[in-house]
Amino acid sequence: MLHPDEIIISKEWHQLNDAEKESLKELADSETSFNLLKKMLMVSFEQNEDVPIISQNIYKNLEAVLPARRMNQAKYWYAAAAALVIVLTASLFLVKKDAKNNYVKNNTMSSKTDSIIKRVELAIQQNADSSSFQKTVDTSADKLLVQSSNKNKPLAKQQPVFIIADTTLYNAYAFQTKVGSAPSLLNFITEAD
Amino acid sequence: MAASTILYQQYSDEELMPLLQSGHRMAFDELYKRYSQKMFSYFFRMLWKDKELAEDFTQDLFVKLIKNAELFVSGRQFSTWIYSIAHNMCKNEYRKQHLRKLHANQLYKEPVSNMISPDIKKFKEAVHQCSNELSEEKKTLYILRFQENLSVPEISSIMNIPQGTIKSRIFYLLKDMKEKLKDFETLPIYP
Repeated sequence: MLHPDEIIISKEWHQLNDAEKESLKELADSETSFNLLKKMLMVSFEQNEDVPIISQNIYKNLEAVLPARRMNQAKYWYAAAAALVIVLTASLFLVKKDAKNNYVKNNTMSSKTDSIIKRVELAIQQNADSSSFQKTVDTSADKLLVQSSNKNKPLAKQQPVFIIADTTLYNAYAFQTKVGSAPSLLNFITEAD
Repeated sequence: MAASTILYQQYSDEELMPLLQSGHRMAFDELYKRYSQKMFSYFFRMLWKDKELAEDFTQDLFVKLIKNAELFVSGRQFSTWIYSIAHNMCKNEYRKQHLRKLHANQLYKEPVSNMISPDIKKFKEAVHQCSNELSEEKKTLYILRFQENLSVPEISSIMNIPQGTIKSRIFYLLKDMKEKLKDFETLPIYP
């Protein structure tokens, strides 16, 4: 049900039902007093027209109060966040690129290494069945052996001297080196009495 | 009209407040556009139709809005919130008793018009005088209900008074004013 003032402003006396008349009994028990209240409410509402328009200076005065930095601060936060995202994304890509090359620092082989490998491969081919000869090598002795065999040879024919970790390579050099070509080896041979 | 202005027009008052709180200038501009005249009108009627005083109060109100925007709690209706701030400002002003006495006998000046009959003019003056003599609380109720057309729940929120009490006060306000204007009962001013 409407409030009393809503009933009075929206209806005429003859439009009221019994319940509405009962609710207005204390306020308006007759059409005359009902109409007086209606007039008063209409005039009260019309007084809105008497209000002047607010001055535009009010807004201008408020502009001076509005802090410019506060209003624009959000821009700088967004820019900082965007920069951070870019830096993080770039760093992720750089780490991945470096990770790929961790184990291979230099893919190119030196000519010296390449020549050694070729010689070994050749020796292996020439002595296909190297499994019957399993040499237990003394690294320093082998080195001496190769060094001594190189002693009187021209550089081009000299065998490279290096520590061999691979037993296949040891086997290859063991087969390549002949006692006859290394007179100093004779010193290792004990003549039977 | 700028696209950004149109965008802000589509927001409700309650949606504009968080934007204002985070520093969006255009959110403030939109709220000012919606409420500046309304709040000025309220102050104008509450403060004895003093235009300059009403403008000062309107400016102060929006300064409070800028500085205390974070006090607006989401879930609350913005219109009742801003009206409650305005209501409290007027309450403080009414406490200055010497001002009340100064303005108590202020005569209503009807805008010059040949269309208005003397009887209607007299009746309007009488209604104005009657509302002017109301206490601060009754006058607030009169303006918010009969001139601003706010609902009972809204007035209850603004004045921080239970709805049942508001209904009861509206009833007795009508009764009091009818008694003061009973001399105009028989005047043929209503078609």
